[in-house]
Amino acid sequence: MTAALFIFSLIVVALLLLLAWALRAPGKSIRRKFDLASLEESGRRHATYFALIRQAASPADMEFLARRGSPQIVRRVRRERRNVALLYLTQLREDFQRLLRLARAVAALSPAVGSRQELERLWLSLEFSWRYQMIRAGFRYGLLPVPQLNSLSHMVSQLAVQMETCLKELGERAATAVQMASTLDGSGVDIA
Amino acid sequence: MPALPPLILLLWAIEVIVQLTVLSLVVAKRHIHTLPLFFLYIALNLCQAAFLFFVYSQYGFTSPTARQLSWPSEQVILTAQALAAAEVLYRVLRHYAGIWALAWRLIAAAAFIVICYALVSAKLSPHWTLLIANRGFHLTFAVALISCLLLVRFYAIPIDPLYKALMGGFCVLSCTIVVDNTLFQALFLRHFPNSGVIWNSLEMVVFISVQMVWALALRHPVRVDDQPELLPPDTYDRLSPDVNSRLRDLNDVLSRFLRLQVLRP
Repeated sequence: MTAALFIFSLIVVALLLLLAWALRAPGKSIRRKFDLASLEESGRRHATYFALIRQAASPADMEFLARRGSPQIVRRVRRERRNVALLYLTQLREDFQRLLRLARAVAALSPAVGSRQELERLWLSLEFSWRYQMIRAGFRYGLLPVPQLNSLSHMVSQLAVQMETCLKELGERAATAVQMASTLDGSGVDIA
Repeated sequence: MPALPPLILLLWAIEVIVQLTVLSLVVAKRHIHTLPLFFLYIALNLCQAAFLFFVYSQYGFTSPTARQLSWPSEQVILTAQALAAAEVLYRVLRHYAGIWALAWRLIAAAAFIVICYALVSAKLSPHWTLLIANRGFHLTFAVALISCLLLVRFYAIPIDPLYKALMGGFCVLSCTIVVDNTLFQALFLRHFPNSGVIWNSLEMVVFISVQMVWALALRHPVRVDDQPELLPPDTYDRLSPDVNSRLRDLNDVLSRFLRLQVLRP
């Protein structure tokens, strides 16, 4: 019986924590979900920087430095490359988040919502988040080398072009939704 | 007439006063038009308090007759509580038809899972069926309501502070009853003295606190919330698969990123 008390107390604590999180005052990031500006930012997507990232991470540069430069410079450049890759990852996540915000705004203002689509999106967010954290931790603690990125180049460049077109179109189509949500935000009602 | 414990009597008096305050605020601040089921829930609670006071005074606090009479009244209150909470949730989501439909599916799924668990555990302990069923109800209620609140947050739907207070209060109350019922069972089986008084007092203290929070929240009217203009029905069908496809592509980038690194010597 003591075990039951312990288990139920744990369940209740977890429920209360979830409740507090669900009801807490909205943070800046939540408010941004319905921020018109964030959805109507210029069409430039971070995936389009891939060519620059690839150049920055070129193995030829590293080989050249290893032959001609001092070990200190090589270490410094390697560190810089890692930072660039981390920054790129962060920006990719921002692209992902922006798409999510758009999708949520559209779902919230639609008369009918498909549970399958919503569940898929939830699953994709969890998957992305997990992979993102894995890669980030790998870079940060030096567990994973910075990839050469060459093999990704073609795929990501293609994706960047597609995203440009798609996000522009999606942004236009969702303008009504965002405009309405933005009005709500401005009226002083809490965004939970 | 068997005497009730003084602590219970004191809490009972406070509870009635606070509930009367809540009831009068619901009427005075015109919340009764938007929250009639919540008004009914508070009114029924007051009626139950009067009924139980009569029963306990006549048959004693721990007598089997009092128990037999008190549990059916609890069923009425639980039904009223579920309806009142659903009403508040509806007030929050009424302009968002798609999310409201999604919330209902979520409530049904959560309720099905927890009710199955409650039925199984009630069968395993036939002497405690009523208490376990009661705990099962409150667990179902809390899980379903919190799931819906998480959904509301996920979609960044605005909630008026009054509705936040009401739904938060319902959840805290149900969570307390879950722990309280389990605690009572544990104390009773260990022949702990006054386990019944502890059980009732804890529940009443939390109930009074929740009612006080509700009273504070009910002093303010609900802020005017204009109905947002919904998108045409086919917009979601056209946009959602596109967005999901883009998200899958971005996920694929990370996946390849990860695979490349793992495969590298």
